[in-house]
Amino acid sequence: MESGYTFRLSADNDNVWFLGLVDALPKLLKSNVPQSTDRSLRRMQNSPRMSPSSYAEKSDEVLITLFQHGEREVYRILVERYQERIRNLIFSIFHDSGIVDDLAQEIFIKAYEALQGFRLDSSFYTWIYRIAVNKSRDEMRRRKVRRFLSFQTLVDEANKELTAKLSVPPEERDAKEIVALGLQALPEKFRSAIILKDIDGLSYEEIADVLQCELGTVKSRLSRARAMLRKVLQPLLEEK
Amino acid sequence: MNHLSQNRLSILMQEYLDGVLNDADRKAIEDLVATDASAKQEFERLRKMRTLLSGQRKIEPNPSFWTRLSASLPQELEEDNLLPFPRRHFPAAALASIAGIVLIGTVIFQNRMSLFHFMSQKSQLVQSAYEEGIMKGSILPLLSHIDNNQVLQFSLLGVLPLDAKSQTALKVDQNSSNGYQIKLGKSTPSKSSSINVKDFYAEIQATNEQKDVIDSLFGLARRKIENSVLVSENHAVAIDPALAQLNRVMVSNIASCLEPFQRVRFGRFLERKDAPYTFVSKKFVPANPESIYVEMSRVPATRRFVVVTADTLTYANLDADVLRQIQHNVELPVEREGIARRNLEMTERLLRHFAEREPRPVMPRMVNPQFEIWKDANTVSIQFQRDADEPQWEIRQPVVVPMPRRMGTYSLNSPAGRFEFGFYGDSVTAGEVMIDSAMVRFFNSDNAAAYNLRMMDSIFTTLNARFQMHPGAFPLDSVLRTVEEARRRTFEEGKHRQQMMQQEVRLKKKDSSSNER
Repeated sequence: MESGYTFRLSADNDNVWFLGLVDALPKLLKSNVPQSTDRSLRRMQNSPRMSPSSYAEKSDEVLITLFQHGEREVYRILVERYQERIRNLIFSIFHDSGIVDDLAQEIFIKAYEALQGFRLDSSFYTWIYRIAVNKSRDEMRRRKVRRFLSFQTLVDEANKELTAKLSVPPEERDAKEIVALGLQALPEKFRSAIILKDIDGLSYEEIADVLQCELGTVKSRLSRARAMLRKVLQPLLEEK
Repeated sequence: MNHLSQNRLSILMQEYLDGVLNDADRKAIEDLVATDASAKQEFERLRKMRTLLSGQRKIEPNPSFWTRLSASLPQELEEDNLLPFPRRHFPAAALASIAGIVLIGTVIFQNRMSLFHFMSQKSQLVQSAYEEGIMKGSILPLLSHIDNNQVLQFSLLGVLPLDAKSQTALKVDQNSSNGYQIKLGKSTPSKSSSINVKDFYAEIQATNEQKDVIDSLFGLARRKIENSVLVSENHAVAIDPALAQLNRVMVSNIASCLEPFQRVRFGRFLERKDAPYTFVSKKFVPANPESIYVEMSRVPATRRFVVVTADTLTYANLDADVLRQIQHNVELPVEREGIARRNLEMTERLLRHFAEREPRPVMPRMVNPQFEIWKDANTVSIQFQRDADEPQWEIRQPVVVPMPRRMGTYSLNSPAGRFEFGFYGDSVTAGEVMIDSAMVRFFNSDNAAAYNLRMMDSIFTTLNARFQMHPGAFPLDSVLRTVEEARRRTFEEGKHRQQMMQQEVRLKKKDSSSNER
């Protein structure tokens, strides 16, 4: 019997052994907790609670492991690290600032719910992009359905602005706006590929990871997307 | 390169711009662009498109994004993992627990007959002890039918004589450096034995309302004392360690019922009677008597007693029901003197029995006991560690402290009154000012000093003297200087007032004589 355990005694001493076990059990359980292989993580967990500023320098992997060990507050660091990239990705896909924050919020909530089970087999960066692209895809489908349901009104009213912009001669339009409109005109799978590559600067491998497709598919989608976009941007590309 | 289709060439140029071409292809593209005008034009278009895309407009950053998001995050995931291991190990831990339970169950099952025999034997013992002890009245409270004077004596002084003639007493010694002692045995007579409620009320000038409140406190304390020490005919004594706290609780509760000037009188009374505790006069809001009453009358479902026999000591938990049964036995219509005599006989027999068994050591029947037993021919003492038991009752303000020792006195006489300082301890950690019998006690706490000096200020003000002191200027010389100054001004003011009065009298005399004429 180890010293240091406190044993309670009852009046008749009948159940002494049981009460002793009850007291010792939490300590025994604690001593059987498997030790983490990540020594730095264990050091951090054993140290007094860290301030948010001290988390800010930690890598995504460390933050995720801390999150999975119950340190929920580190999620804020991850969000702040990627929120603007995700917001810009959504803006690039939809070119609609009204939807950006709502959709970004949905993406980060989804990530929060799924992060406990995240196996670190890809980077958080591509993982959150994958969620963002999937959510954007859902949103596009939703918009399509909405458009289908009220086809006439949408064509006549909601797209009036887009139609008006497209009818303006190219030389009078802002180049950035033309690029945005050109991107809008691309089918979703090509749009995602070209945005991830040429705007967000992801590598082919990362894009394959985000879009959950083969490397060859990424190359082909990129090539087709660029070819389609060139048609829209032709006047701009010809300018000296 | 020239033999490639336009489409394939465009793809290679894009891959060149994306930086994924191998060295040979990269060199070939560079050569082609340098030599072929149409290839160069295509290359420039692609590069321009890339520049246009990478220069796309960014959305304005949103600094309040997290604030908005955090309000929408699922709450159930915000809860901490309360398990002593990461959640992902839960299945393994659950399996291990099940295996452990099965193992223990198997061991118990294999030994079921001997275990059953053991349990039934034990429970029979307990049952018979209960029946023979409690039901037949052989376990009795050591103290029963005690009056308010005895309660006051024990509450304030920690001593309760069982019989004035034999001077056997129950004593709680709280000044032990390691903890506190509860002693049962022969006690030396002390000057404090004459304490009684009437004198106490007269001393503190208690109002009728205060008397009612303090009387009900005595009633509660009486019940606590009566069921905190039990003796049995088979030479065992059971003591509730919480009894040692009663002294402090009562001093604190009585003090909290009193007005400031009464508290001063109460403090002096405690000092005069050699009480083990006094209290620090910190600023506090007087307690609501009802809350004190409710708190003190709270009865825990189970109380833990220290049970001492001549050879053993152990803890025993007694249910409130059992204690009520014991109390009921005492309250049966038996002659009061008879019970007192029986209790005393039992105690003396117990002490004799303890003494006869010397020098066999007392064997603790538990791991790491938090108390020790001493016994000699006259006394059995139980020494508890300081932190052996959490206080059972809330010790309210004012804070009760061990009585400091008075080291000296400084006094000043003036027409305004007599100023008297009492010094305690090795430095001026505590003081006392007496002015025309209005006494103010102050101790070394900053707050206490500030509070009491303000109070002194008001007293001096009524005496037409200004008494002002910065709370930080507490050292004795400052106090003395300030008081001396106040004394001087009071004296001068008194002298001036006296002269004025004399003048007034003279004028009146003159007026009356002129009127007579």
